[in-house]
Order: sequence, then C-alpha cells, then structure tokens
Amino acid sequence: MAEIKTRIPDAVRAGEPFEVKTLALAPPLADADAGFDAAGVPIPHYVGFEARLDGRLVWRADLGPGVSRNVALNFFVTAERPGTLVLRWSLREGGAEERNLPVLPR
Amino acid sequence: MSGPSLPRRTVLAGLAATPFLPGPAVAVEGPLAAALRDLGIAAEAVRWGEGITLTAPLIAEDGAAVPVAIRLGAAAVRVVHLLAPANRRVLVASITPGEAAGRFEFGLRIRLAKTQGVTAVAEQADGRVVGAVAEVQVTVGGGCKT
Repeated sequence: MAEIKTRIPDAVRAGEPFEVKTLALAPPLADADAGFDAAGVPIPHYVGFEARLDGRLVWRADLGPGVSRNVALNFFVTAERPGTLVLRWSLREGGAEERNLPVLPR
Repeated sequence: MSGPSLPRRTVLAGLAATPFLPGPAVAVEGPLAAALRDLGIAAEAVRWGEGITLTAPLIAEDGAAVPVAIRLGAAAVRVVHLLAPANRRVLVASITPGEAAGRFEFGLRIRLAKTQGVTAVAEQADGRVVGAVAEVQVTVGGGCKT
C-alpha cells in the first residue's frame, strides 16, 4: 500500500466548493534509470485518477508520462449533503489505490 | 533624460488604462500541432485566452515536478488536455470534470524536459475550444530524459 496523503478543509459548507489536496507517492526506484523505458520516456506508476462523491463522478484524469512521478493533484468539490468522497488512483501494473474521505458539510 | 512632450504621469496613466487584450494568436506548429491533430482538435479553431487561465512558475528549478494549475470560466467543459510540446510525450494529462466539481480549478505537478510553453486546451460542451499557454523556463530538465 503506497503512501498517499489527502487533505480537505476542516469546515465544509454545503453547496460551496472546497479544495481537496492529494499527494500520491510512488514507490522508490532501484536506480536512477529504472523510471525510464528504453526510449527515455518516464514510466509512470500512477496512470489514472478518479474522484467520486457518493458514486457521482467529480473528476477524472488520465495521467501520462509527463505527470510527476509522485502525483500531486488539487481540485475542487461541491457537496450538498454528507457523503463519502472516494479517491481512486489506478496503477500501471493494474489494480488501484483507493482512499475514502468523509465529507460532512454544515 | 526628460522628454519634451509627454509628461510621465500621463504615460503611466495611459499604461494602467490599457485594457487587457484577448490572448494573442499562438503560432501552433511542430509537436504541438501534431498532438492537437491526434486529439482531433483543429489548431485554427482554438480561441487562445478566452475564459481559461493556465498558471505556472516563470522559472522552474526542477523540471521533474513543476506545479501548474488550470482554471476555466463558467462554460461547461467536456475535457481539458495539458500539453508539453518539448517533451518526448507531448500529451501530459487529460482531465474530465464531473457534475459535482462546482468550480473548474485543477492543479497538478508535471515533468518538463526543457524550457517550453506549457499549453492547456479545453473542449467546451458547446463545441468551442479554448486554450492558454504559459512559458516556463526550466533550469534542470525533468528526470533528464523526459
């Protein structure tokens, strides 16, 4: 399980956009060349991202080799009622990392 | 050195009053043109600087993680593509907003191989395409091989 940091504001207001900050760290590499393929293009660890609020899509991103190896994303979400924000990073070798954040707007 | 005709205050006031011009037409060529073609976007159809802002540092010391942010106005957006024309792989990321986003503002860190104009191109729901360019000077390339 990779180390993933997430942060949302302490106080969230219903109907007002709030910022979500995330940082998904990639595992360490064996040596400096391990992160690149034969053509010199970086091999990403994370290739996709999806944020859903109670099943509704909030953001989706396709992440290519041009995204930093440790994927730092920040974006806005609007919640009308309490729910769960599900963040999902898909991995190049298949599978995904998932984090659930409770959102409790007032 | 004092000019005979124009008082300095007049000049300054005139400069301050200069309205923001719409983004200049961006010369799209080379890898950027090819990447837009691959995405099915006609380079001539892109309206530069209309309702889209791309924020990036003027100088990036480390090209391996350059923070950039894309902001869009009120128009509904289908997808935004982020492009780095001087990277070996030009398309950096494609971002799709969902219904619960509320505000289109998305930040991420990208790799830049060298000094270049980072480009964001947004396809709006009404079919219009808007774009923005931010020039970033890169001191050390992202991972040296990007």
